[in-house]
Amino acid sequence: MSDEFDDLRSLFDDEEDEEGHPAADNLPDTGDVSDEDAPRLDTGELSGRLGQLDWQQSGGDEADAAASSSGLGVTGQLDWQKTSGHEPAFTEDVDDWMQEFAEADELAVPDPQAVWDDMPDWLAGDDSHDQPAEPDVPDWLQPDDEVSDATHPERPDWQEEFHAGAETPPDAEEWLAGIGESAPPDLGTALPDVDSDDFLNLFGTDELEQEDEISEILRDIGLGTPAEPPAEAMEEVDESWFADEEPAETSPELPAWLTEIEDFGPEDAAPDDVALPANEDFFSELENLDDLRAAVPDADEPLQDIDSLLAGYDTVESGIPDTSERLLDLNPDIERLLADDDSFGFAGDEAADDLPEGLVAELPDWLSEMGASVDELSAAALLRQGQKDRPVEELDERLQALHDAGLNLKPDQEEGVSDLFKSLLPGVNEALPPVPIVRAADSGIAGDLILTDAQRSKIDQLEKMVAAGRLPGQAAQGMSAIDRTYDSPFMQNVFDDAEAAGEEEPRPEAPAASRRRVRRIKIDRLLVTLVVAAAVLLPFFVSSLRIGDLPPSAFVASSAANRAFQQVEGLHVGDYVLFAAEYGPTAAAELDSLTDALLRHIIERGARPVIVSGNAVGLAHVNNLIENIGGEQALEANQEYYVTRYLAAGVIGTRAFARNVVNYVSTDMNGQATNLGVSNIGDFALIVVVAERAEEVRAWAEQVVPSASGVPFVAAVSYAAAPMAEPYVLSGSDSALPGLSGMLVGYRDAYTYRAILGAAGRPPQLLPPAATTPPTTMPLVEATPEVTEPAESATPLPPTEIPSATPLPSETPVLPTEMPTLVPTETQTPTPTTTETPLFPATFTPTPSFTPEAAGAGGLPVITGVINTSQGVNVRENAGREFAVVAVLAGRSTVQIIGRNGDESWYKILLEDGTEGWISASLVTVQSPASPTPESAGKRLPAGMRLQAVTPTPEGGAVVPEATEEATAEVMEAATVAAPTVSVGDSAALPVTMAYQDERWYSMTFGIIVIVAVITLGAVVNILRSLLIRRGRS
Amino acid sequence: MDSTTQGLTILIILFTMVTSVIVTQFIRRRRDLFLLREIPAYTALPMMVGQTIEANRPAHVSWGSAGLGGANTLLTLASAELFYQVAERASIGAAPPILTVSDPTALPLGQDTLRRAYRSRGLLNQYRGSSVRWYPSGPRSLAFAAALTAALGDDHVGMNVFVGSFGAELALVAEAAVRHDQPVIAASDQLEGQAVALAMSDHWLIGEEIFTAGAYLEGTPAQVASLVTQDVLRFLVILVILIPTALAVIETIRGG
Amino acid sequence: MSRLGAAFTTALVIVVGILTVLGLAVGEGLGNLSLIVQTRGLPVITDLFLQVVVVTIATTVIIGIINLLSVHISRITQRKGGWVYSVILVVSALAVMVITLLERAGVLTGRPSLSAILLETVQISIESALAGLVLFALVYGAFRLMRRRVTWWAMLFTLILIILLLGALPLPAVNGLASIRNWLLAVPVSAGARGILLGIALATVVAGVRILIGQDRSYRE
Repeated sequence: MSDEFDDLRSLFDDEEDEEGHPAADNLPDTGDVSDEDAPRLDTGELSGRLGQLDWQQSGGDEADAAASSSGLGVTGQLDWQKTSGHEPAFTEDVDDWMQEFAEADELAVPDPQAVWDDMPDWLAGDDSHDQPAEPDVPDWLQPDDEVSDATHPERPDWQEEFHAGAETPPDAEEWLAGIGESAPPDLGTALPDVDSDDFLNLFGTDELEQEDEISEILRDIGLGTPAEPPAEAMEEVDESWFADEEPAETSPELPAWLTEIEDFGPEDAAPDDVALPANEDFFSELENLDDLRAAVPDADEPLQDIDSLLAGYDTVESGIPDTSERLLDLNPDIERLLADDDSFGFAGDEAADDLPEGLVAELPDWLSEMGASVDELSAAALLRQGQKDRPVEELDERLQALHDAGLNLKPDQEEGVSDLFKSLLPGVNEALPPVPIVRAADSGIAGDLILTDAQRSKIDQLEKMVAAGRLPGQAAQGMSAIDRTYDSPFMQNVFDDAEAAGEEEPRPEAPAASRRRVRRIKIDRLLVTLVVAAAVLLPFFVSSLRIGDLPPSAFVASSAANRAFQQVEGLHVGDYVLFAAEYGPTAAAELDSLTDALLRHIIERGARPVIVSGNAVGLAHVNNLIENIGGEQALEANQEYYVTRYLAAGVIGTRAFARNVVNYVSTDMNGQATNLGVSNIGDFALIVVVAERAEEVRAWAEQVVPSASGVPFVAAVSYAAAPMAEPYVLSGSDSALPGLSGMLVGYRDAYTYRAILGAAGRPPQLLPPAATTPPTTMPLVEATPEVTEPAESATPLPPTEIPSATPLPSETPVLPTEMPTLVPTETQTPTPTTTETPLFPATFTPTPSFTPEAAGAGGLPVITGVINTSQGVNVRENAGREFAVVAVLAGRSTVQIIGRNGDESWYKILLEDGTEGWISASLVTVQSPASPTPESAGKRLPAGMRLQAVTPTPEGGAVVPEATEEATAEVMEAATVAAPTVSVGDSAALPVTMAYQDERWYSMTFGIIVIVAVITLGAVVNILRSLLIRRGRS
Repeated sequence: MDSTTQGLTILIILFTMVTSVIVTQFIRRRRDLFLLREIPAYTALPMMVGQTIEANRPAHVSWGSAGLGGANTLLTLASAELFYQVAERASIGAAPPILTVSDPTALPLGQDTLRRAYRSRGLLNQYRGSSVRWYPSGPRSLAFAAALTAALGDDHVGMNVFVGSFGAELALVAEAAVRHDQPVIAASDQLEGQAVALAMSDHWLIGEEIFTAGAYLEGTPAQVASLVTQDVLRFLVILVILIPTALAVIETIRGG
Repeated sequence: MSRLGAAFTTALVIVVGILTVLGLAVGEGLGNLSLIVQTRGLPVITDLFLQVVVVTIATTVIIGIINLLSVHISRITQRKGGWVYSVILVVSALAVMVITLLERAGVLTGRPSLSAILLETVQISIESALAGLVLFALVYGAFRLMRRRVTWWAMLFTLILIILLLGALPLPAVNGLASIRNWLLAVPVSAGARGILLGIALATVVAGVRILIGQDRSYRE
């Protein structure tokens, strides 16, 4: 290391090399840095003279570390200083030099030449250069303890800024320019490797916008320009040796450490082998500072009077707070920083005007953001309002609460505030320790984020402060800090003065939730609702609003709706129809009309609906529906209609049903056995699906219909499902594919359907049971139930010619225990709901009904009657229900009446095989042979009604008693409602009409019109509003 | 089914199996090759959950009438995956997430999903089965919609995700959410519900985007692979539709 | 769940799934595969599985009822928001259950039955009324569709909506719109709907296959 000092020493020898650089011998012998006796700089004295150059105060690694930790890239010291060990390399010689220099009277009237002459050679350089005529010693070199004191309030800002790690000190340029004017011109040759970097380190920054300018100034310093303006002086500067690429080879005698210094930046660690020689010779040179003084050229006027210059700086607002120094000193004054103190120049505008050009732009972003914004109050300003230095007790309640809550938190660790915290934030004795983050055993997406109990407790604390309930809906726990803030008089007007802030109006202690729950009535929503409601309701009351055409009274011949109607119309008596009611209460309002019409039509045709559903509530609803229909027509459950199963599990249940029909229809929804003789899907004559969604139609088409080859499939869907169900409708040519044979849609088709059903002159005849239907459906009947014209030879019978008979004693009823066998294979045996006489004994074989053609064989007037129900009826051995059943007649069959009982409640009939029996009179419509009328003879029963009685005419015709409860019970054991009496001649009756059906249609029409208008209006308004907003923005 | 349909069914299943396995392995090695387009609903969902947590409110997810055993069984599972993603994020909040279902078969699945979400966070002790609620019932149940409308207000819900099987009754619920200033993400496999979701929600998912929750919010190779497999199948279906159509058109043009 | 249990569950799911698929998809006409499936009795096994599913699903209704009652009873006991309505719900549910049981037991024998009356006068009426409310909600939603942002798609949506509504009117003045409406329903709407449904179907297939091969094990912890 001593060699290095030798190198340095040689650098400052008076001898020059070829380039004019001083020889290394000129370097003072600084001695070994490791020598403990090496002279050290008295930092205190130096500080007092030089105005606390911080980098000199600490020096070495400590200063470097402090500077580095400031984060501003400040090194704080020259590179060579870093290698000097823990203490600055300057020794007392330098101090003496400076002291001597300062005390010299010549300093008051600077003799630049003397200063430069006194300067150590290593600083002064070659003596051969011309000295400026008027050396100018900067005033800062003059002692001014008072001003130079760091704590002096009038200490100029630029002194702070010299130590700052921020951008270029504002007046550095001027200062440097001043020095440059008086600097020896060839000073740079003495230190060929000193460049702007070192100077930057002196000012505590590693980047400089005005680096070029500083470099020029440094050249001035080194070269000692004549007394000329800095710009002119710089022109004469030999820039070559200031260039970064200063070749070390130009001075082969330069010590290696000096050349290497150039290459080091603040971020580089000082190599151990580069150490500044600090021997006595080195520092002895510093004693010749008088030369330095002499060498200082005349400076500009401000520099001649450094005191006035420095005093003038007091009024200049630089706008740059010395935050870096604060941090370097580890004694930040946040309060002062945030205080409304002009010394920091937060006025902004004024500071900006005084700042050198380009300097404002160099303000760090965080600093400029903290400063004043144009015409706005920054967040910092708001914070500072009314929050000057006050003790804790005078803070706002919420801040006090926060403070108290923070004190109450018990940290997990006992260590408390770390030393680093204390050093950075002196005066803060309380701090929340960091909460440890516990890693979870299972790594999820963010498995590291686990809340510990401590975190939970803190969250609870925060929740209490904001008065948040833990559980949803839980009442707020008192007033939160936010609520107190809202209640605080401060928030009434942020700009109020202290007097207003002191006012405290008593406010009721209302929960925050209710106070903030201000319901704003949406007028537009209310208006739209009222308008639409009016549009829907008014047609019911205002006839002028009934606009539009009603649905047609008949389907178009080729339409899917007509095909659906024809499918039902083509049902035979006794056919089973699989009826799937796949809708719930939601769609009941729309689909009930279709369901009702279809069921009535099916029943009217003599077929029997077997109802299933995938919707349990829907099944119950349809059950109620058909019970209402059955109540009107005295239908028997599990005989004339079957409400069987709820198909659980959606499409799986539907598929399971298709594969196992027998089990699914063996019991009804109440658990009662149905005794349906259906073995598979193919046994049904028609499949009808009433669905609110197209998915149900699809499920049935895909899961059930393929198993039922040849069985027609008809759907009735809601209006919304129609578009997606339409593709399943088959055309006539591809009827072999599974699909819809017909489809009915919504209320429109329901209206037409019911109109058709109620129309007069509909085809009256019922189709006989289809030949292809299994024999289990109905007993074999040869005679047609239709009776068109009575025999012309028939003569009217006297009204009371029917002989009476004596009822026979009753017999013990026998309950069927198993499904009986009818001709040819099975017998329909409904399960009786009571223990009374069964309708069909187990071993009974139905008897063909009477044919009218054979009646006239005996010459007696033939009285014929027609069974007026589609259900089979009992023929008993005597007049009374307590008698055994001897035969069962098919519904709608013709019988020959040969007698009656006393009260004419029973008729005696003659069966085809000659057997006589008794049948309830109410179940027979007597065909009067004297006055057959087209209306009465063989008239097809109007749908929904069953004629129970015929009003006898004076011209003739049998008197048939009205239906009695007992007679009704012959067919319907459980029926208790007597069927109403309707005249046969009343063909204008439309029992299938719905209440307000026309008004409903008009209401829908008018409602759609109004809805279209509302939507259009909304669209137009929103578009215009958007256009206006855009125009306003542009 | 006829033999052709049977054969095609088995073929499609096998093809899907093979493609899914191959693509999964490929993605495990080269995940960067498969970039997913942005779906705004999934982009907004984590932020919405975060805001809900910050507001100390529960997140609400509803599956509508989606349930197990029916045609929308797999839709229910996909909705469960989405619920898992929401619940896992929301489980750290003070208010537990809420799931409402209309099909009782979805109830056990919902409870199991919620339990998994809490377990993944190590907060199993905070799991409550009552957070999963069944309201009656059935497809397009307006009683369910009415119950949801009340629940949105009573429980002070912070956000809503209606993904499942909804019909037009979604309009009632969505309007209630708007009234309470609650953001809504909605999707449905029913067309009526989809239309309502498009018109009345803040963000929506269309069609098969419901099934992509795992790929977007978690992004495991298997989930991304299912997306890719879907795309492959989709292109195959397009070809199957286009080619015969083109041939038929050509034949028609030639013939007349 | 232990690893062995997890593996067993996964294996069970895969086996049952494959058997069910084979039983459903393979019928007659696939040669040897059909022969194998038929001889092994797979259709029977499949039907058994499906029956198990049906029964299980039907049983979950009970679970739903228990959940409903427990949630609302807890709401009552904890006095949460709207607990009064929970009281009404619990009381009504119990009342309907008791009435139905009594009717099944033959204690209540009125016709029409009390449960039917409750169904028709309460549930059907209320749900029908709610269906009417849906109308207002939909109309209001369409009214403020473009309040948040006006886009071309929103305008197209509104335009088509208006055309479809007008085309449904039975007025002679809008007969021309009826044909446009029919075309819209038949072509773009159906096409779009089919596209969406196809996409859902494809996603369903892929999701199902993932479960079938054990890739998706979200059903177990």
